[in-house]
Amino acid sequence: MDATKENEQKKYKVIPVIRRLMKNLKEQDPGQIPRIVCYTVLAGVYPFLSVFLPKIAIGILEEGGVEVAVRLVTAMAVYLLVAGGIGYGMQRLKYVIEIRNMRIRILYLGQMGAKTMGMDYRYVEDAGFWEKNNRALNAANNNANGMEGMYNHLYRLPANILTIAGMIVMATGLSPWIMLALVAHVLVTMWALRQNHNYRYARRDQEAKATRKIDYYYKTTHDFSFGKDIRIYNLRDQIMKNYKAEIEGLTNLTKKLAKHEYLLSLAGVATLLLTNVLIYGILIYQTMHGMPISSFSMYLALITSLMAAMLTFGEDITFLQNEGQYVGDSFRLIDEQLEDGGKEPIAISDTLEIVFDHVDFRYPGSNTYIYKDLNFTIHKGERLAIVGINGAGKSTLVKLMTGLFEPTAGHIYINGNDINDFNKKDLYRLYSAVFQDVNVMAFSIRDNVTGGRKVADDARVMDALDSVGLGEKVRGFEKGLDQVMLKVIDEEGTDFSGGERQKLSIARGLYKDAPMVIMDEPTAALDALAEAEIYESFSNMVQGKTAVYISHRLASTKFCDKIALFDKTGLREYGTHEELMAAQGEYYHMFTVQGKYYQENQEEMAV
Amino acid sequence: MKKLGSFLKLAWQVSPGYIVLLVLQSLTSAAKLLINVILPKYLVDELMGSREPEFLLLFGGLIVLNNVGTFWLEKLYKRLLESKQVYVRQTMNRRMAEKIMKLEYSYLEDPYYLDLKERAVFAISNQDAISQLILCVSSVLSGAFTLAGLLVVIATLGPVMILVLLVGVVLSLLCYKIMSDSMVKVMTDIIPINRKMGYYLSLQSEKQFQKDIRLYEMQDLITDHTREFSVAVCDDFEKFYRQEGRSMGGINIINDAIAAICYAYVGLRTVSSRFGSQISIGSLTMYVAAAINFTTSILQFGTQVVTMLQELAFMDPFMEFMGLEEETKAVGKKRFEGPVETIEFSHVTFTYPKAEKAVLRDVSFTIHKGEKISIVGLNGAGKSTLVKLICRMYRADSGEIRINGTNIYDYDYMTYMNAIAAVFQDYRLFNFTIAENISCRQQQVDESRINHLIDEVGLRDKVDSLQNGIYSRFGKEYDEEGIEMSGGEAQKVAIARALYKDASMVILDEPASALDPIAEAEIYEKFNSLVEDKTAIYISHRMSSSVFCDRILIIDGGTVADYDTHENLMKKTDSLYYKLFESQAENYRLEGETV
Repeated sequence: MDATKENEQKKYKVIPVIRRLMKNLKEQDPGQIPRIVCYTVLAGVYPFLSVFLPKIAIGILEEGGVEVAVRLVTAMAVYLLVAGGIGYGMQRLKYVIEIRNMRIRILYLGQMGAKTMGMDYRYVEDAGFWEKNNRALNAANNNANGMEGMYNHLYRLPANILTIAGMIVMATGLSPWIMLALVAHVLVTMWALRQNHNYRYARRDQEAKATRKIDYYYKTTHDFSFGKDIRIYNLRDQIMKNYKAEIEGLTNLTKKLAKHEYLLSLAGVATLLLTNVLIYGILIYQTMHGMPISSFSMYLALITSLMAAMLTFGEDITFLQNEGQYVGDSFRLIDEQLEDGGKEPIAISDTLEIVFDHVDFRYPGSNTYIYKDLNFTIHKGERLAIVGINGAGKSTLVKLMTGLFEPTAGHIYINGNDINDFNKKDLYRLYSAVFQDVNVMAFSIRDNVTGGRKVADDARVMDALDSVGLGEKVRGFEKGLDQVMLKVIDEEGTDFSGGERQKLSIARGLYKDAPMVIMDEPTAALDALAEAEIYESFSNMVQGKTAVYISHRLASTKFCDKIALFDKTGLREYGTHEELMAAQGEYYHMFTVQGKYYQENQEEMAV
Repeated sequence: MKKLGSFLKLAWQVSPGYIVLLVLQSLTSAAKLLINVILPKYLVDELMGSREPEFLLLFGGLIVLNNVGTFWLEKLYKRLLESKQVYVRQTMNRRMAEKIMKLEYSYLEDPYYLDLKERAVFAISNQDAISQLILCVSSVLSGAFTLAGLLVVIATLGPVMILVLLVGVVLSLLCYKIMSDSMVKVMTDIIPINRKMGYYLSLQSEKQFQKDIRLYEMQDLITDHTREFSVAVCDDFEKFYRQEGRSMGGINIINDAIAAICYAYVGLRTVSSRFGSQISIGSLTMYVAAAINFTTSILQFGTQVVTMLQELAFMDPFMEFMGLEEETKAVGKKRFEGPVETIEFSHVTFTYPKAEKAVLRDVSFTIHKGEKISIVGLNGAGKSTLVKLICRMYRADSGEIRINGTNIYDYDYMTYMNAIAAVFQDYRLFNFTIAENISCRQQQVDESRINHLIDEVGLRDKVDSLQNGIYSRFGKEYDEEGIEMSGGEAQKVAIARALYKDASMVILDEPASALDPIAEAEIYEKFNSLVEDKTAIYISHRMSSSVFCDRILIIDGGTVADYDTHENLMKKTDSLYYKLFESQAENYRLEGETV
């Protein structure tokens, strides 16, 4: 594990990442390049002004003579004009460049999201993908680090190089020892920074793990929905104790990291000492031997500025080197081929027939087979109830039919076409699906029903709402279909009860009017009357269409033509209600167990 | 100031070392600056004057010592502060966690406190207000120290410099004011837009929405909204950045002007005594350095004071939250002893805080020891509310709940809670081991009882399949080896937890909603033996479950509609109970078939 990470680290090169960043910059905001060029000129020159200032002022004073005052005041006025102009221009450009960098970063976040929404669904249920995605997001979700951080360090790099080059030229009159010590100090500082980064990078999993543990207690305690159980089972003291232990764990790890960084930085203290001794020793010596005091001041200012510029340069390079790794990860993810496509479109206007032909399936990364050699057919126009115990793979069937997942082996045919020959998009269009967890989104009711079609047929939207019994409620809103759901976006947004939410999601299925209907446990959280209403909506929805109704409530079998019972070995029983009851198998057992108390009572009532 | 005081008190309680270090750090940085302003004067004067080697060595040495020494100290502070900072931040969170767990439960469902918590959390995690505030306080301190020192130096030159500096400072603050006004304006505009952008970005990359997005082709809808609000956020920010650029440019000019004026004025002072006593070139460098540092320092000081006030305001929700009243345990002193004999609701009316309508109105009924009661009603009828009242999570507006004849609030909180075990509809398990989740403790666990309960609730196969058996830990986010359970299995653990707690009253609110029919039937059939002679209250949408119960309490529209046995209720064919029961039962009628 660590060895492969080590390799990844070695393989990584910062230059291609920077090239990619620059390419994006040119494409998305061509004005940035001339801005950066202007900035480079201004910011490259500016630091020299404060170096020359003492030289000029003290030089005039040293020279003395007549009208020294006039010459001094004139020089300072000229200085102010030049420095003020350059400084002002530099600042203006700096902020425009930085905000534009931020814009590129924020729009990139949107691109990453679009990538997530477009990729094949199997990645959605792959924890490995989300880990990668989170890391990639981290490279784009703040302005200090990652992509924007890199842009903000990159644009000031050329100006800094210009400054350093000019100052080195100016410093040629100085002892080469000073320059050597200076370079040594900068190199040692950079080395320490890089070492520190590597040390921390190598321990980032440890740190992430410690943080994750703390975050668990943080989330658990800050999530009010845990409050009831914590109180009833008196868990507070235990949680507080564990929480404290985890904080100590992270604090100790941080101590270790900080100690390492500190020890590395001692090398920098030594080189700084050397540099300082040389600078002051040599400059004092030279002044004693005839160098004017204005030059003494200038050189002092020059070296201070040069050291600062070189350190900034070093830090920038290290920063780019370090952050490039994360940004590179992010680019790699966005380049990855995560969606298939480009297949010939297959037109299907009829309702569906679905054939499972020797299908094996296990989830990617899992060793347990959900199905082995599954063979069965959902016939055209049939209403099929799929029942079974928890974990029998009922919902997995839906994921296979809709193309969210692909079979591990075997084939699925839709109206005779192999499911692998479909573009995913075309496949998704074949189904109106309703699930147990309803995700209402903060859009208008219209957009929630239509999925945001640009051209929405309001009459059909109302029809769909009417047939699930939400019509009156929606008409009651002042804004009608424009009423926004949830309060996240619009403070006047509304929210529905559980039953109403489920009805809204059925209306969505109705509006889509796809060739086939799928309902996956739509009533698990609803009361008996709401449940009965949903059953009715289902009947409305499936007129003449192939339909599948999944539930562990056997009641659904009453309004379906055929029943398929799944257990842990796959399809166990298949037939009509009457056939399966007559067979007295597993279905019969489940039906009588679940209906027992309704039944017994029935007899008592009859008595 | 009072707010600042109470905050510092809190921080001091968490880590006095942190605050001491920060103060030392600010003093060091102030001292470094002052020494760097003053010492070079002596060096330059010595160089231009007698050039005594030992003095040159002394002054040069002191300057080097100051540079290198403070550099070393900075590294040392950084080392010590890093872990302290982590500790303080996390411990503040932990303090807040403790507070949340000690709060009266009713706060936890009140939207106001939910919002207050969100605001508090936003301030201390997203804006890192605690660290920022402490840093600000120490910067303000160091700024004050620096400014005082510099002012003393500059004052020795006479009033002209002070006047120049004053003008510079006023102008700079003006620039700064324009910038911060623009910031305040943009920020107010941007908060709602930013929230929208954040929401749409999260829709894009959150797992739960991905199925819907694909099946209903919502990609374009979401992408368009994201883009629209991203652009809006950037446009707003650009306005502010452009203003910031102008203001910073202005401040830049003012600083250059001050430097130029200083050199001109102090330069003149070195060549003539027309404006005051003549001074040396060494003094010139000192005064110029002091003046330049003074302008930058005072600007920083001003910014820090403003930021400090802002951060203090950010901290308001946090401080308000930490000041909330804790559970009123002191109410009852009476120890709850012995089993529950009777539970008696007497004219109980209850309204959720800030709600307009009462959820329960004039509810009266009595449950006797050992009875199994089912509560039935539509979604939102107030069934779970009844349970919360019994668990002392809310207080009734009027009426009384009595257990064994005593108002439940007259009992001591701990002993009372020991008498109740509950499985809530939205039960939660914790990332502890299975055994800890069931026993809710880490020591003195009765392993054989846990194993017995594992058998009873039907988890034996699952537990045996786990490498560490009942010592397997839940949750991947805590431990890579952590286990996960399906909804049905987790629900069984929650049921075992309720049964392990040796309470004489057991409440089961939708305990079987995630179970399949076989498991559900097993659980129901076993409930009666599992709960033994305990008093039990069930809530379920599965009407068949109420057949088991001794009596059924029907809640309709906030009042008790009926309270009777199943047989008697089924005789009233126009009642809600009959309708509910029939709507499910008719699906199980075996027409024409005999069983």
